[in-house]
Amino acid sequence: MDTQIELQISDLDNVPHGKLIKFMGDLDATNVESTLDQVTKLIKEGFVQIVADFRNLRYVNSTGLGILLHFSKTAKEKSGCFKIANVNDNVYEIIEIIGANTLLDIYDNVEEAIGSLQARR
Amino acid sequence: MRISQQVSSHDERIVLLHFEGDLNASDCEATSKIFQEIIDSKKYFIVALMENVTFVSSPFLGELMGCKLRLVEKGGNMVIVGLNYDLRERLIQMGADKIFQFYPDTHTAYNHYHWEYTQTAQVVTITLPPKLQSVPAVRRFIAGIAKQKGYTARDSFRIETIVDEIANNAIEHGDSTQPEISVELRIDRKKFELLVRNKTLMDKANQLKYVLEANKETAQTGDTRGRGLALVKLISNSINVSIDKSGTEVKITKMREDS
Repeated sequence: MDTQIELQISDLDNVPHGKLIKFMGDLDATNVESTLDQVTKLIKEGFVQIVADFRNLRYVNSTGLGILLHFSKTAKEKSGCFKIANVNDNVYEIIEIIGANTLLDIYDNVEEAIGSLQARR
Repeated sequence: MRISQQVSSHDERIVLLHFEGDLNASDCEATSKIFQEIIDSKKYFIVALMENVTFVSSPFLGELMGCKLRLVEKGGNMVIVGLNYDLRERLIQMGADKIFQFYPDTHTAYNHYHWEYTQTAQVVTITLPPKLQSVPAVRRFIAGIAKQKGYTARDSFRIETIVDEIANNAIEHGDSTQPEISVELRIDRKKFELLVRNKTLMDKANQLKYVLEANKETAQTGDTRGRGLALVKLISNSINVSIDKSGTEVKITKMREDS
């Protein structure tokens, strides 16, 4: 059985082409494909200003980290960005150990991440 | 108060102290003398049996704490067994649960003793089908054991990561016809060891060795295997890989962070 992950996607007020994605559950090898499909679809539709809320993301492994880096790279290639907020300590540590904290835009909370998007305009 | 002592038939290094009645300030002096006699006899593990205790005063609790400190200084411990609900609640309100472990019975206290002081490792062996979908339950199960055994939440999370990465590698890069993967966990108070055995084609096994020997330790690493193994290298204390015709065996050791 695949690990449960749920992505709740909503619009971002006052951010054109913006979406908020709430990640809930564990992001691992069993569900990276479905996660990749959902977020890639958004980016292809032109929603390239993305804030990912990790408040309820309990776990991420190297495969999951790989697609987060991919989202960040793809959004940037389309003049957008993929920002992450509310990362729990354990997940942050994994991101930091692998050195991905220098490649991902990480914020303490969603408000700060959205604020940085609005400041870009 | 009545107090009696006996050497445990389970292990002669343990002294059972039976307390009865109200434990008042006036009982401190006599109790202190008994504790000192036990320590002088070079027995540093005390199980305080309190199923027949009706009251513990603050000064008496202080006396117990002082004794525990003396035992800990000698590398020993004192635990409390058999508290009734009301007394347990009262002791918790007094902060005693921060100092003492409470156990419902002597059997559980002995288990604690073996875990903490005799370095007895506990072993769990799991075989799983070579499907990625089987890994999450295994990794959470093993992390749960670590947490239950007193490893910190951070350590448990790291252990979950190690199990996940190594098992995923064994499945993704193993021989696709292998019937199962074997995961063996050995855990004691100070360290966690994971042994994952699988059947791997020789060329893939050699790739695995190459990745481990190379110092790929950042997110820039292009392939997933490199990133996962680099992560495991960074959060564990050692990785050993042995490869022969029967398969690949990856052994990870991780020391408990507060050991």
